[in-house]
Amino acid sequence: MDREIILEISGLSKEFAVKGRMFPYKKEMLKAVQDVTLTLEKGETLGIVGESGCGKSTLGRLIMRLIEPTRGSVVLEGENLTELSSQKLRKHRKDFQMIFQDPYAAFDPRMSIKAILEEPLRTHGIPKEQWEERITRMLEMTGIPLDALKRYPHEFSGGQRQRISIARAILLNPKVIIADEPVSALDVSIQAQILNLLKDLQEKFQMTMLFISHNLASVQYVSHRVAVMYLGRIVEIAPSDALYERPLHPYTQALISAIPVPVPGAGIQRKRLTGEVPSPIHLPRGCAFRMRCPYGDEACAGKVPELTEAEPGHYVACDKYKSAEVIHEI
Amino acid sequence: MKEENNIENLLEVRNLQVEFATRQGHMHAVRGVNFSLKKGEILGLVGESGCGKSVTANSLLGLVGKKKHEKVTGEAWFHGENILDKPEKEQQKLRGNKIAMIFQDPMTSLNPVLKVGRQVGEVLEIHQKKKKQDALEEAIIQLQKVGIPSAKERAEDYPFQFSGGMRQRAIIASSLMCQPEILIADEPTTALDVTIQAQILDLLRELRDTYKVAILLITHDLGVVAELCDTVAVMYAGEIVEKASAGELFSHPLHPYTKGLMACVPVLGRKEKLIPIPGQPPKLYEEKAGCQFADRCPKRRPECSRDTSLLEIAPGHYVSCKEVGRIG
Amino acid sequence: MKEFMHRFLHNKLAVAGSLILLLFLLSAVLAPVIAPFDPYYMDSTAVLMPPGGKHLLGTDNMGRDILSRIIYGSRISLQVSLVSVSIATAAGVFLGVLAGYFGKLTDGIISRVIEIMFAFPEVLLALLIMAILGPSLNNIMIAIGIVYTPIFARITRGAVLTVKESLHVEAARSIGVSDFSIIVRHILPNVLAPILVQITLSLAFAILSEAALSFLGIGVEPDIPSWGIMLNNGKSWIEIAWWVGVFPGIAIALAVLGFNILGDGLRDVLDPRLRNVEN
Repeated sequence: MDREIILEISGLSKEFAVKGRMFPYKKEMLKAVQDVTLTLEKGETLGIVGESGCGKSTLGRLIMRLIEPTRGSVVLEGENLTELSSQKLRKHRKDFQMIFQDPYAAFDPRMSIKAILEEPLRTHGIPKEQWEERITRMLEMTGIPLDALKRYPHEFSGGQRQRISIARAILLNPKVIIADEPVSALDVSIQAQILNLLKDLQEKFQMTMLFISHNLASVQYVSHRVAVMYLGRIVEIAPSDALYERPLHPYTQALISAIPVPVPGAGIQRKRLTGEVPSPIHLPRGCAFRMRCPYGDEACAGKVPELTEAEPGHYVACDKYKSAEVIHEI
Repeated sequence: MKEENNIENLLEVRNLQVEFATRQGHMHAVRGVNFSLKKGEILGLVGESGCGKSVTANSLLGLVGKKKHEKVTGEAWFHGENILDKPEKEQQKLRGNKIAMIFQDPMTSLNPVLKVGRQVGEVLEIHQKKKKQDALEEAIIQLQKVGIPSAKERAEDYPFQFSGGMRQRAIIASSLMCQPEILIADEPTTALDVTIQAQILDLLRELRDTYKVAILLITHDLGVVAELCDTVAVMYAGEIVEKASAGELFSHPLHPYTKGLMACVPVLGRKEKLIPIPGQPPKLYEEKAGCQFADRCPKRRPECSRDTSLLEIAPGHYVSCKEVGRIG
Repeated sequence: MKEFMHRFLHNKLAVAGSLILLLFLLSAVLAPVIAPFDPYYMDSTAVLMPPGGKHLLGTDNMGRDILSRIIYGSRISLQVSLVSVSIATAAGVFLGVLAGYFGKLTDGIISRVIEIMFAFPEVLLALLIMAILGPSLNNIMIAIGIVYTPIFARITRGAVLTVKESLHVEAARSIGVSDFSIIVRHILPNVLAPILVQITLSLAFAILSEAALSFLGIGVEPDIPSWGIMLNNGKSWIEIAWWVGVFPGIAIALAVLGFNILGDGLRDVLDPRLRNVEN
């Protein structure tokens, strides 16, 4: 099979300046995303999973260049997005689109669905004759009734709104879609509808998608590969089955173990992660996970472990994953 | 379930109905809910947003039904008294004392300008008229018990200095101060990360084992229910549609809605395609006879418009769906 | 829009305010038709006539009919307030959008200038500008316009700051919509409500300011029938002919009241928190 790399992210980092708690005049750096390197192949869904504050949403916005990266580059089909002028960037935006978590807030409440869907077409100079046909086709594909066009966002349920925002995102045939927690704001029975829609669209059009979520089960459901983030860094990337069947990083193992499954009594015997996530302002030296890690020791404080290929296509950022103590359960 | 005072049952709720008069019209949020809670039992009330599960909990505490546009009817028997009938003063004495509540959002449940220790101890000042200093000392002991490290120092912190998980621990500590017999936990882990959620679920389980406190857990997450609950009641559109022990419910779900919920949530390691429940949950403004789920149900039949009382299909397993009742 | 009209018509304040203002608007438009006398005509045989009879509200020291002058005065008052508030709105909203949307240095400079202008009492600032420009009808409109610019700039800046951070603006940016389109299509419509309320309130204050400046003798030319000039004139005769000053005073109070309660009403009508809970 032809493996064509569409999106190449290398060394992407973002630091936010925050006021120090002890000395408000002294600026401290919050390291939200650190040195993230990823590639997306054409027609692939890559899942990004992590807990709140791990930098996954910041990563999405960095790739979209909704916020400016501190370091690193995002290359979309040979074009370095991080170096484009804002004029040129605007023109290129039709190639990478975002689906937001809160489908209500993502729409201007004063605009009708028609106006909302026409905006991307107008912005990118699509001839007016094509608008109606394109919009109608999108509505059919995303399962929105045609009479929705003259109505307003508040008249729709959360699931319908998310369908509309998916329609808006794919209207311009983007090369990459970034979905930031697209189902987290929805009710459980509606989540499945949206997950299936994304999965179907992805398969039908060979869409390339970055799917960001805190929920590993839904990430795994839609993604071919999954990257696990912890405190701004990617600690493990693997094909989605391999990640679940043989998680190598102790954090991934703990994350999987913490997810409640609908099997009574299954959770009681599990090992638990102790402590809480350290502050991204005062990161521990070396591996950021070592204080909570059952296998962490002095050696882990030495340097930040690098992502290394443990098995074909399975990368892990832990120096200990090979040693006997890291038992692969499950 | 018929006898007047079942000794075993700590709390017995009968035909609970909650109605609201809203701008959009009359809303029948809870439509005749029955359940009981034994000492040391964890009962899960599962359902989607708007199914009436939180309203049910709030009405038990008397937090709903006080205003002109709210109406609560039915009975809730606790120690031989119907607590729904009690005057506000007496209900107040129960709240946070014998029946305590934990809310979803650990950010807003704490007063941001009050030190954590003081806040946790406050219930003792209110319910047991204890002195500030004594209350604080007991608060520190309780904070230790719920797993807050160096509780003595942390008690002097303000809520914003606590992480989300620590805040939820502090709230649990304050709910335990008066040794309640019933703990009502409304989505206690929804705002937390999974690794922290696992810790809080462990803590709730420990509390039940140590203090034999009964817990009414309100959640939308079947995983959480399976993890923690002894008994499960599934709510849909203001009614309980299925009720069984957790083991029974997860191994033999009967109601099409329960089955639908289980099939539409992605589970780690499961490959099958999700089967979404078509349509939307109903808004509770209209009164419709018969099964409320019928519109979305794959097994719908004309008979579904008849009564929806719970039927005991297997010992302890109740279901409102007459279709499965007949087949089973 | 339909909902807005419905809520507007059910708001007693808004309707009452509009009715009062409608009265003034009609008198301004129809002044030549409804005024019983020429406002400039001096009847030397009827000086300081008390109210009643031929001159419904009496005459002033030069024998001019007070009712007619008040009717014509509404033209001046409305003209001054409308023009000056238009100037203030245009300039203030422009500056506010610049400051709020682009931030950084632009915001720093605009915000400092606004603060300096706020540090002066309004009348003092207007006096200063009038002293430079010289008294005339046009100049007073410019002066009042400048004086009211900072309040619009500040309100707009605050509203823009909030809306700018909202997800739908970020979504528009992610589609590639230009800054100009974002401002015109997504930000301005969403900051309109507070600006609209401020416009009505400022219209009231502008009438007062014109009256105050004219009263102080540095407003419009003294022969023009402005309410402020009439009030100024009235003060000299207050002991022997109260009507010369009192009726223009009532006119000012009524017009200001009209704009004020309309503003309060609009604030309620436009407040999203008071809107029907949507879904």
